[in-house]
Amino acid sequence: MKRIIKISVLIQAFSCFVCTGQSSITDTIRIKEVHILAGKGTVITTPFGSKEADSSMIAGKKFSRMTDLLSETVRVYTKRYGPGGLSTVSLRGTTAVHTTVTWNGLSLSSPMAGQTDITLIPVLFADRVNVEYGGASLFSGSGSFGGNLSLSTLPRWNTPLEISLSGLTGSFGRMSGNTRITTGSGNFSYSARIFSEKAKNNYSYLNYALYPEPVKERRRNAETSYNSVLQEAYFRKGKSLTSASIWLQKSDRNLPSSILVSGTGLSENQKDESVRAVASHKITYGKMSFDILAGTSYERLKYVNNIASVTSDNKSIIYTLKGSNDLKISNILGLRFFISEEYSSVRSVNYEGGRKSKNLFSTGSALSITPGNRTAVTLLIRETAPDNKLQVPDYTAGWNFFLSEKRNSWIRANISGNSRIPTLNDLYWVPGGNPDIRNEYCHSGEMNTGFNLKRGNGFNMNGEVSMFRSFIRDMIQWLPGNNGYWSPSNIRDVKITGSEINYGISGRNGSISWKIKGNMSYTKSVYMSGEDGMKGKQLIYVPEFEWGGGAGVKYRSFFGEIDAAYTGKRFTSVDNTRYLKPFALVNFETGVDLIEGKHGFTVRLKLENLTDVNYELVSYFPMQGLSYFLSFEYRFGK
Amino acid sequence: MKRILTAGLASFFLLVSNCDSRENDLSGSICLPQGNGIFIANEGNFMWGNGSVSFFSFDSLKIYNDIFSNINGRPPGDVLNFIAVHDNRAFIVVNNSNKIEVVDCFTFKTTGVITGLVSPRQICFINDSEAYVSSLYSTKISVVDINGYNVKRSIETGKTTEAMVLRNGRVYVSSWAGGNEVLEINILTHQVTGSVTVGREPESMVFDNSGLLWVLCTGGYSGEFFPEISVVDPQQMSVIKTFMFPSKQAYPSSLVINCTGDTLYYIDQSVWMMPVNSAGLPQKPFISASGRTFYRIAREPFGGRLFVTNALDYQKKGFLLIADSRGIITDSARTGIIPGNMCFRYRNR
Repeated sequence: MKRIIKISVLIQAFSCFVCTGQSSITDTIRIKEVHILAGKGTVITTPFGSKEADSSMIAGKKFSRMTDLLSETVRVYTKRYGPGGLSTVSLRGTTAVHTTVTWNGLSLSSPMAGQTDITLIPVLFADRVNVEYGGASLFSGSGSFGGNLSLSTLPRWNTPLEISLSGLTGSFGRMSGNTRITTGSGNFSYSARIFSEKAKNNYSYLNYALYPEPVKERRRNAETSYNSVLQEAYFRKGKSLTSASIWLQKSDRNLPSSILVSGTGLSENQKDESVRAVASHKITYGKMSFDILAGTSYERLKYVNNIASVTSDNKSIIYTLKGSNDLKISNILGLRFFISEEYSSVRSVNYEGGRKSKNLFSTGSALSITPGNRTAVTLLIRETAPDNKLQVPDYTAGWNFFLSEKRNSWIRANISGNSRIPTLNDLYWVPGGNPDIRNEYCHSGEMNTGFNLKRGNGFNMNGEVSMFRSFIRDMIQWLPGNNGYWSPSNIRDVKITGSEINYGISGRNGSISWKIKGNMSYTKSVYMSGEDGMKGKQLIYVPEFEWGGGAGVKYRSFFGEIDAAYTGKRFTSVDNTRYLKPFALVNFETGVDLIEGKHGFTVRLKLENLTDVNYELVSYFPMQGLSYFLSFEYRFGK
Repeated sequence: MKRILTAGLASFFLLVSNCDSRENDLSGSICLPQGNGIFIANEGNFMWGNGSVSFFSFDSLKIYNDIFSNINGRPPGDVLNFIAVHDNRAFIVVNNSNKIEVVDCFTFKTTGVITGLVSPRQICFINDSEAYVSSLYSTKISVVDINGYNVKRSIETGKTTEAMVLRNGRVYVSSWAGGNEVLEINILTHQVTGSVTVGREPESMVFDNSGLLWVLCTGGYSGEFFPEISVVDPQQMSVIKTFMFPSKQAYPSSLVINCTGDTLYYIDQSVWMMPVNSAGLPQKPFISASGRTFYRIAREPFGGRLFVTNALDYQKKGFLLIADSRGIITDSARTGIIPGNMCFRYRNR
């Protein structure tokens, strides 16, 4: 018995190292963790907190959508209505509208609702996933109080031909396939990626809410299908780089009802179509470089509710034009000017006249001072003019100091002031839109310290601690009004304080490599205004505690890893009397990775939610229990 | 050190393996007081499943919140739109859960669930075994067996339906969402036998002491028509009088009548009182809103008290306000989120 307990404890101990920075260790495409003060081709330092998903993790999750990657790699909170359902991401105690998402510099946030459904983004379509927190997001644009999720594709030079063919089958009728073809020379790179997935999502769950006694039910009306194609090309000559990419996507999702609804529910369905195209050119002349980017994003969302006889067809298009000029004045001083123009137009039956538009002009400059090898200061000011109306400028100021000459330990601090303009729905939605709604403002500060130690024998250890504080004024919230419909108003002030800890250790001993990673976050995000029963209460769906960790080992061609993630209590009522209970998920993955000349094969088996925990990310929308996924990948190339 | 580590890890695992994310577990049981009182259906927010039932005891002047969850160990559902008492049972119409929860009105223990409904709104008992259930989305009224807890048949109305009142073997049904009619249904044949056009979106109806049907019409959810109170002669199924509200911005609701059938009450931000023989709409509020969000009214059938709910900002728990016959608030109690329709429970009456 004692032995059993001991073994059990050991297994459990292993499972404690939950998953965030956890990644597959099979792939060899690994970007080393670096802390860039002055990137190649840029004269502006970015001494701000950011977190980049491990590239091997991205490669290992090519069957997943961005929701899965983010919840397992970088510590962000995702709110999901179920696998395949609508999901949004929020950072550092803010809400989904305060987190922007960009792909190759193009905004993916809906001009209507201001948030991004990250379920619609396949991991396959990003080579780099970076979360820019707080002030760092102002380099991409304004309004991201929590931060910006930056997704980008990368060229592969000198690659004659690489082909990857993959297939996956798994629980609840999930089938997925993807293909990637890459070719390139020293000056040219081309890549095509295709992603396709179908799932029934007919998992069983315990309905504890609808009947006198809990009843095991099976999810209905939850079928999803996704089809996406991406093509990209890069060309470089001398000190110039030109790129172009286009992404086409179509999805068809049935939207299941909450478990409080008996029968077939509302039989809702949502179809999304999108076309995104972006082209950019960068050129460097001596101490000066120019970047220009032009892009467009078209989206169509068709929602049908058969029982309520509702059909809603919304189309939006965004045109983006951005330019920047970096100037290296001296070894100490760098300067950047930037300008951007984003025009959004939406056709919706829910807008008076059927069409509304918004023009967002933005300009500003950033200054970097790097006196010596160990310290840097950056200042940025950005003026945004929605529909030609000048606003209070956004700003950020950051400082970085390396604690040693080796630059492997640092301390950083920054402050920023940021504003978010109301969305088109906030302004014009019928019924309820409020044309008099004001901007939201956020003042925030962050401190961060960390280290990254490397030894010659492959041993690597890193750790980082961040503390942040934000104050959001005039937060927009939709509330039911006297006429029976919801309307937005600037009624809330919110204070956010929090801290994050990340650590990782990895090593190699002969043909065995291993790693352990972990993280922990505490976020107190409270209403500072409101009547009794609300002031001082935690924002709904913002967990105070989250932690995770993972451990993985690879021996020759075989690999295995276990990860777990804990999400704390999330309140579902503003007076904090109702909440979703905490949960912890444990996942396990194992497989074999074989390389024979130019041919590579990988077989993976993944078990998710090993302990078969009942959990919800949105109240009364159950997630799936224990499930398995088996995938096969064939690669051809060098 | 090893022992501490082992104990720590073991306790961690126990914590992890026992995690279950069900809503706030309301497992404590309570006993409802047995005297007279009023039930309040707290609607809760759409899709949030945070509706609840409260009971205000007339004997102790105390409120008992979350009684359904506390007694039955599960939430009642999503959007508790209506509650009615019949034959010592309370019927809770749970709109977005497509069901009616039936409980013993003295113990509040569940006695059955009626499913197979489409977005039910209100229930109207036509005899001791059957009731009509209106629907927000379906153009059919469901006829339910209130003893067998099932749907027996449906009545095609051609329109979605809301408020229902029974008189002289006829049920009068308002077509609320986007509608402007009151339908008449014969309860013996379950056939629509007549209709009358009234103002836009008839929301609530009452009969006065002379048998006239008073219909409160909101004017539409986005204020496209003037709200009005239409007075219908049910014999002729015709409108004999109309009281127009002065502004399209008004959004009156929740028309009720006193036990003698001669005085109306309704909400238009404030609470208004209007004798049925009045020549026009009242000019002075009966209970001034004063920043409160009045949402529903109930008039005590055996007494002069008026019960008004205050939904605050529709997110926090609201209030039940109790006013005397002069409109003076004499008592208040905290309810659940969006306290809405109410019904009375009397013992030995």
